[in-house]
Amino acid sequence: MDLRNHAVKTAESLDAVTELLKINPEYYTMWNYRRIILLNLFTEIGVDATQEKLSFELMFTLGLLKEFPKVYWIWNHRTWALETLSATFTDEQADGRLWEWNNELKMVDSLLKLDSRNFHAWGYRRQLLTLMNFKEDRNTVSTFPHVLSRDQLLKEKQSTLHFIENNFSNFSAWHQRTKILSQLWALDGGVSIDDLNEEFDLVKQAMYTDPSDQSVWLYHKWLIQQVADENIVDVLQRELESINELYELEPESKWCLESLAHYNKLLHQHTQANELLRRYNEYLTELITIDPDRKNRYLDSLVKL
Amino acid sequence: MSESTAKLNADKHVEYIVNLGRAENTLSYHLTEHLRLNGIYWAITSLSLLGRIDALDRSAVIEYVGNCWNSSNGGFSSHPNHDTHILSTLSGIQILITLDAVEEAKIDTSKVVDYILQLRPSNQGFFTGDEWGESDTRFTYCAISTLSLLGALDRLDQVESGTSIKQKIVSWFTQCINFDGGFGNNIGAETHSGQVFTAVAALAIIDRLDIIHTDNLSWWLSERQVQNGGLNGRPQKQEDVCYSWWVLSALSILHRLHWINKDKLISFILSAQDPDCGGIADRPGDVSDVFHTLFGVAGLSMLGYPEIERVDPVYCMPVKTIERLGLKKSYTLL
Ligand SMILES: [Zn+2]
Repeated sequence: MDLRNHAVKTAESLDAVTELLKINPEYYTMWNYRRIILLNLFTEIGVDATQEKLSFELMFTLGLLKEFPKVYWIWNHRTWALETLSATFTDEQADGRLWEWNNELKMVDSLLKLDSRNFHAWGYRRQLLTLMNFKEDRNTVSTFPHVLSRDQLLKEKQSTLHFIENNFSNFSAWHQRTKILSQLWALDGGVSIDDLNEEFDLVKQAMYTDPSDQSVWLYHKWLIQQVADENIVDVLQRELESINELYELEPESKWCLESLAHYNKLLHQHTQANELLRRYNEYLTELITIDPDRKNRYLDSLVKL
Repeated sequence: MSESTAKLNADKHVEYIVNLGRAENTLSYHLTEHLRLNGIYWAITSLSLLGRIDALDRSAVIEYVGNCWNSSNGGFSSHPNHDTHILSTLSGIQILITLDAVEEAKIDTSKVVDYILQLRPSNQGFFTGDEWGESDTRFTYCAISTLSLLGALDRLDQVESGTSIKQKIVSWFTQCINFDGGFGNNIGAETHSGQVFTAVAALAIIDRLDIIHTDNLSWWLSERQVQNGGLNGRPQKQEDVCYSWWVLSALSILHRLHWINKDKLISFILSAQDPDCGGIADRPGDVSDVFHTLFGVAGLSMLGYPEIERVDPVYCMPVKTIERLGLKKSYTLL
């Protein structure tokens, strides 16, 4: 702290800061000081040495993240280091930059293996994917997932599948998949019924594996939202039938009932059949018994026939 | 545990909070300097809700907060001589306003307003935490809440390349909305209860809750309640007392607080109290801290637990303070 107060910006002070941050990685003022020292050093050393220092920052923060995976300030510093490093590569060094980025993707994968729901890691992953496509041109959209290339979207679709197959309860991966597929289908000018059915098959597998896992039902809800108007009645009828089958096997399943209620109401919006609303109310009444904690929500949702 | 036996141990909690301020010579006290001003805000607000704000030395607190203010850039740091940040700036203002001591602390609030405003990158609808540029819905909430508390919300009406700052903010939040109706910490991020609170409360302050799908989001929020009565932050995650604040405040602003089981949540919060040392932990059996103490007490307050003062779900400050400022928004408490 004394060094900082006297505005010392030498390589030796950097070592002192390193030691301090190992003990207390929440010390955000020290992270700021660290960046000030580094930026000052960069003006004195060449590009190669700068890149070397920034690579060290990536290594240093990785070590800390393994121990403190939820400290905002470490992630924040790592993002800065990555962005600064990316900016140092010249066009001739495009390969080096690509290598660095792919290395980062592997690093995020390894942290997500330790905790597949770490939202810092998922956020960093999205920032990284955005950075890989960032264009200086002010007129292009540079937000995730709009900035991703078709090739990257396909790769990321595969990655999310990998996470999901490892653990159906990983809602972070299902969430990521909603973003990736939305963008992919937008690029393709719409989604084919075959592509949708592929997703319905995946989610059906997950439902049967653990019907009490709400991640899966949330994804199913999103999927239904993606169906075009001309197909929605058929798809809803098919899905209702399939959920009904599961419900017969699992009569205590709140999520089966919840979805049956929701989709009957949705189907009513498209067909106007009053029978569906009567059924909707019946399911809600059943839910009041099965899920009494949310009784008032069900009561508020009942429709007057 | 039977619901009728557990009671709020208010005296113990007051004692616990007061003792925190006396631990100046311990190592953990020094290791938490980066959170000190936030910690004082959590302490002051807890004590205020427990009706014991007199338990802390008012003038010492005001002097300390004054020492955290950086008169050259207008922001507050977490501790004297640390760097300024938007998180500590909101805490500093919240403390001074709760103590009705803005003038006494000799803070030039116009400088604080300018500090906040320059944290928005030009043409963007979000605010960063400090000059290093980290973006997060939390920081945008901090900015809007601070400006509102200082009576400077009209500064967001300023027009920049055709649209007002307020419109830019609304458009940014709109881009953060997910299919489940919720918000993550940035565009593309997974819905998280903490971020949902920041978005809902920020939009409430600028009167733009219309961009939220109320039933959809309230449905998701009410699904945060797990079997033992506690609330979690995201699907399939563990319950934690602090979500009694993040989830309930948002439900309150959306007028759907009755969509969860109140009695079960009250007994969950009470079961996380430390019967010996006082304070409330994240969950039963863990060590208590002042952060979870505030959010446990604030949760109980919204649920209408007896002998706790009402908390404002938009500002996380006592209702009477927000009413004094004339900033009360529409919400429902139980
Ligand atoms: Zn917590």
